[in-house]
Amino acid sequence: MGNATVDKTSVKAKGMTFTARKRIGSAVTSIVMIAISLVCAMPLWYIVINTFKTIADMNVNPLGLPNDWTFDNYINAFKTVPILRSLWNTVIVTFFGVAIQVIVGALAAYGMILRKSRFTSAVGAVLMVAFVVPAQSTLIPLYRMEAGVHLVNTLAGLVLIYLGGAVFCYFLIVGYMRSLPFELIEAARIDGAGPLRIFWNIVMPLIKPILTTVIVFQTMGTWNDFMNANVFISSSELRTIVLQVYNAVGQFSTDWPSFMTITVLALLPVFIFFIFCQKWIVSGLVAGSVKG
Amino acid sequence: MSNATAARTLPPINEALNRKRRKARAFHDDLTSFWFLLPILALFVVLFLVPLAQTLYYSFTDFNGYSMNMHLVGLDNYKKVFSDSSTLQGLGFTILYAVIVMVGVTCLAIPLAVVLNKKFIGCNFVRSLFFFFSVPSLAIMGMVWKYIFSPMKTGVVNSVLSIFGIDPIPWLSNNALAKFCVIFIAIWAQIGWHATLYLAFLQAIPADLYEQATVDGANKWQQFLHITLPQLMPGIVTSTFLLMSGGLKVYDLPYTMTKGGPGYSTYTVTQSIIQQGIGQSQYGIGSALAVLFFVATGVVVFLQMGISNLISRRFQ
Amino acid sequence: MNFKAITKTVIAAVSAGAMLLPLAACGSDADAGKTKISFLSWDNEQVMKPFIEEFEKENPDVAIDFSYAPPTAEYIQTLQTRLVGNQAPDVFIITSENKNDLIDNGYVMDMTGKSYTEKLSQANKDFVSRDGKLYGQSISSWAAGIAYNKELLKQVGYDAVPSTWDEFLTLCKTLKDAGISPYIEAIGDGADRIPDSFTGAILAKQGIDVTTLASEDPQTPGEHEKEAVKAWMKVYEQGYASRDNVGVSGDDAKTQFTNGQVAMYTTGAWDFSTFEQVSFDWGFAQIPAMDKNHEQYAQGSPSPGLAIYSKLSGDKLKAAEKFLDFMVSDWSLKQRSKNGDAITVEGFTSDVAEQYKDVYENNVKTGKYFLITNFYANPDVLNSTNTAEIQQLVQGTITVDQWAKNIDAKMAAAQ
Repeated sequence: MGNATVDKTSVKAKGMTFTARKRIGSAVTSIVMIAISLVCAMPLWYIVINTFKTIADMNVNPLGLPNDWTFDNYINAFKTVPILRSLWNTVIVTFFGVAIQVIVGALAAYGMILRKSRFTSAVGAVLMVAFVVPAQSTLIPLYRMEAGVHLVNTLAGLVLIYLGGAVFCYFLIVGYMRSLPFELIEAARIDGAGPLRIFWNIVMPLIKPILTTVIVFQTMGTWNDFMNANVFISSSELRTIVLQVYNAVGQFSTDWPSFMTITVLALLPVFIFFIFCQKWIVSGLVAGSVKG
Repeated sequence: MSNATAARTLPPINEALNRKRRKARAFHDDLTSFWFLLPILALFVVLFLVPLAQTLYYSFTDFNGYSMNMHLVGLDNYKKVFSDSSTLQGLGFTILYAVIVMVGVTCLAIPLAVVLNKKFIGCNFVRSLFFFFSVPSLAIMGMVWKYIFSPMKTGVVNSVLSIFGIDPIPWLSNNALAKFCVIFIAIWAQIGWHATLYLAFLQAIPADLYEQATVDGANKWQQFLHITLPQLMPGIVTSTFLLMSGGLKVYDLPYTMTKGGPGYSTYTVTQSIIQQGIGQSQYGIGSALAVLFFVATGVVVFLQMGISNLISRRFQ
Repeated sequence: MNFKAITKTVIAAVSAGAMLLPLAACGSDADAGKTKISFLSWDNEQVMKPFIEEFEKENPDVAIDFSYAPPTAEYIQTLQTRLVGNQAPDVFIITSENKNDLIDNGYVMDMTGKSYTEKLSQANKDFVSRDGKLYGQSISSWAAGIAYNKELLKQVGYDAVPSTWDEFLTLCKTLKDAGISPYIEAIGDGADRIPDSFTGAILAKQGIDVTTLASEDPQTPGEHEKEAVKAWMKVYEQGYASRDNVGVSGDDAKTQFTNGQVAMYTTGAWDFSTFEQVSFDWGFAQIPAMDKNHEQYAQGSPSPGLAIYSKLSGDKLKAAEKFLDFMVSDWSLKQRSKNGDAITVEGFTSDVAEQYKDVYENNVKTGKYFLITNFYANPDVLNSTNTAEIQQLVQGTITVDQWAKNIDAKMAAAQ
C-alpha cells in the first residue's frame, strides 16, 4: 500500500519516465533475485524432486527430473507411518511451546525497557547465560528433573523443555524494542492505562514485525526438534513428525527416498505458515505511525 | 496577596510531594518491571540454572552417565581436559568457524534484507525460499551437500567445473577445503533467517528519514551508509551475538558433513564434549569441558557484546 | 485477513483440538488387566510391528509398549538418559557401544542358560558376554564383502574376485590399465573394512581368544592391527584407490558403484536392495585373504542383542522372557530372515540373497568375522579415534607406525 502512494506522487512529480524506470528496476530485481534464490535452493530441489523417484532412478539421475514420476514414496509414507497423528502432536507441542515462549519473552522485554535499574541490568546479564550452555550438556539433569515430577513421555513435559526458548525470544524482542523510538512506548504510558493493558494493546502491535519473526523462527525450531523429542517421548502415539522422519535411519544405511518424503510432508505445513506470516514482518508499521 | 504568599509557600511542599510521588512511582515501576520479568526468571532457573549447577557438580565427580553412584574426584576431570590434544585442535576450528560465519553472514544478510524489503514480482516467494534453507534437518542437508561437494569427478560442483575444463577439486578430502565447505554451508544455511531478522529491524526505521534524505539529494548508497546501517545497529548487535554464541557451540553441521574429518580438521569443541560425555561414558570429563567452554564462550560473547554496543553508541 | 482475527482463529482451533486430545488417549482401555512391558528398540516400527502383533496374538495376557530410537548414537543417548532417569525400559538393545556400561552398572539381566539363548551361535554369545555370563540375545550377524560389477570385471577377463590380496591387487592393476577405476571405499564414514578382516585372520592364526582382548592392559589395538593396515594400504600406495576416498561417504560410494563408475566396493548386505533396484549385473565376494597363509575372514559382527532390565521381577519378568522366547521361535526367525537378516541360530538357515550366499556360508555362519571395536575396552574412543587417524593415513599425512602409535596412545589415555 505504501509503495502505491509513493508511486502516485512520483508520477505527479517527475512524469512517466520515472515510473517506467522504476518498473524496469523492479523487473530486473525480480529476475536477479529469483535466479539467485533458485541457484541457492538447489539442495531443496534435490530433496523435493527425489521424492518422486525410485531408488534406482535417484541413484542414476539424482538432480534431473524423474524418468517416471512415481508417487509410491508418498503412498508408502501414509500407509506405514501415522502421519496425521504425528502432525497433530507436533501442532499441539509447537503451538503451546511457541505461544508461551513468545509471551513470556515479550513480557520480559517490556519489563526490561520499562525501567532501567540495577536489578534489570543484572537480570539482562544473567539471562545471557542461556545462550552459552550447550544443550547436550544439560540433557541428563533436565530428564531426571522431569522424571521426578512425572513429566517425561508427556507432551506437556516436552512443551516445558521448549520454553527455554523464551530467553531467545526475549533477546530478539528487547533488541527490537530498543531500536524503536522510545517516545512511542513512553507516549503509551501517559494516558493512565494499566501496564498489562498497555503491553497488550499498544506494545504488542508495535513490535509485530519482530514478533512474527520470532514466532516463525521458534515454530521452525520447535517443529523440527529431534533431540529433545527423541529423548523425552517414548510412547509411539505421542511421537512428533520429525521422529517419524528418522524411522528411515538404519544402522548402516538410510532409506533416503522415505527420509526425504516424510521430510517434505513434515515441512510443507511450516513452509505455508511462513509464506502467510512474512507479510506481517514487512508491514512497515513504525514508518506509518511516525508519519501519522 | 494571598495568592502571592500561597505561591511562595507552595513550592517546597510541592517539591517534597513530587519527590515522594516520584519515589513512589519509581518503586511502582520497579515492581511492575519485576512482575514482567518474573515468568522468564522462573523458567531460567528451572531450565538453565539448576541443570547448569548439576553439570558443575558432575564436573567434580567420576559420574559415568549411567549410575548415580558417583564420587568426588576434585579437579581431575579438568586436568584431563587440558591433556587431550584433540580438544585443542577442535578449539582452533571452532573459533575459525564462529568468526568467519559471523562476518560472512552479516555482510551478506544486510544487503539481502535491503533488497528483500523492496516490493518486486515474486518477493514473497524469494523471501520464503531464502528463509527455508536452514529448515530441513541437518541429516538430510548433510547428505545432499556431501553429494554436491563430492571429491569424485561426478560430484555436482566438480561436474560443473569440468564443463569449463577444470580438474576435479578434492572438496571434502582436503583439510583446508573441507573447512571451507563446512563454513560455506553454514553461511548458506543461516543467511536467509538473519536477513529475515534484519528485514524486521528495517521496519523500525522511520520512513521520513529517507524522505528527508531524498529531499537533501542523498543517493541510494549514501542513504544506506548514513541511515540504514546506523539504524540497523541494534539488529546487528542481536544478530552477531546469536551467530557468535551459536558458532562457538556448533556441532551438528560439521559432524554430519565430515564427522570432524578429514583427520581432525573440522573437529569442534562440542563434538568433543559429546563424545566424551555420552559416547565414552566419561560424563564427568564431558561436564568439565562443558563448564570450561561455558565460561570461555561467556567471556568471548560478553566482550563481543561490549564492543558492538560501543560501536553502536558511536554510530548514534 | 488481519493479524488478530487469524491469531484468534488459530488459538480457538488448536485449543478445541487440545481438549479432544485426552479423550482420544482414553481409547486404549483394551490393555487393562494385561501385563505391560516396555520395549526400546532400534529397529523402527515398520520392522517390529509384525513381531509385536504376532506375539500379542499368541500371548493375549501381555501388551508391549513399543518405542524406538534410531541407531546408533541417538539410541545410545536415549537409552542412557532413560536409565539414569529411572525410566528404564523392560526390554532393550545391547550392543558393542553400550555393553560395557550396561554390564558394569548392573542394568542387564544375566541370561546364561535360559531357554531363549540355547541355540545361539558361539560368536553371537561371545559378543554380549562377560566373564562367562551372557547378557543379550543376538540371533543374526552381518559381514562385509566386496561388491563387484560383473560387466566391468568381464571386460578384463575376470568373472570373480580373487581370494588373496596380492591377486586382488593384480586385478586392480588390470582394471586400471584398461581405464576402469578399480576400487572405492567410504573412508569419509571411517569404514575401512579390510584391515579388520585381515586382523581377524591373523588373530585366529595366532590362536588368540578375542574375548580376552578387552581385559588386556594396556590396550593396543593399533599394534594388533598394524600388519593388516600395512597390507591394506598397498591399494592406495599403488594408486588403485583414490586418496580422495577420505571425503567419500557410503552413499557417495554406493552411487559411484551402482552407476558403473567403479568396479569394486567394500560394503555389506544393507546396500543390496539398492543394487537390486538399479538392476545391473553385480556379485558379492568374500574379502580376499591377506596372503596364502591366512584364512579369508570378513569384517563383520553379531547384530545387537535383546537385553532384559536387571531389576525386573514377577509377572513382568515372565512376560519379558516370553517375548525373548518368541523372538527365537521359528515364526520370528523366518520373519527376520524375510527382512534380510542373516540368522546364525543353530538349525536355521536364512534364505539370503543369491549373491550373499558365499559370505553367509563361509563367514557369517562359521563366525569367521572380526570387528575391531567389538573386542576392546572403550569402543567409542577406538571408533572415533580410528576414523580420524585412518583418514590422515589415507591422505598420506601420517605413516602406518604413527597411526598405530596414535591409536594406542589415545586408548591408554582413556583407560
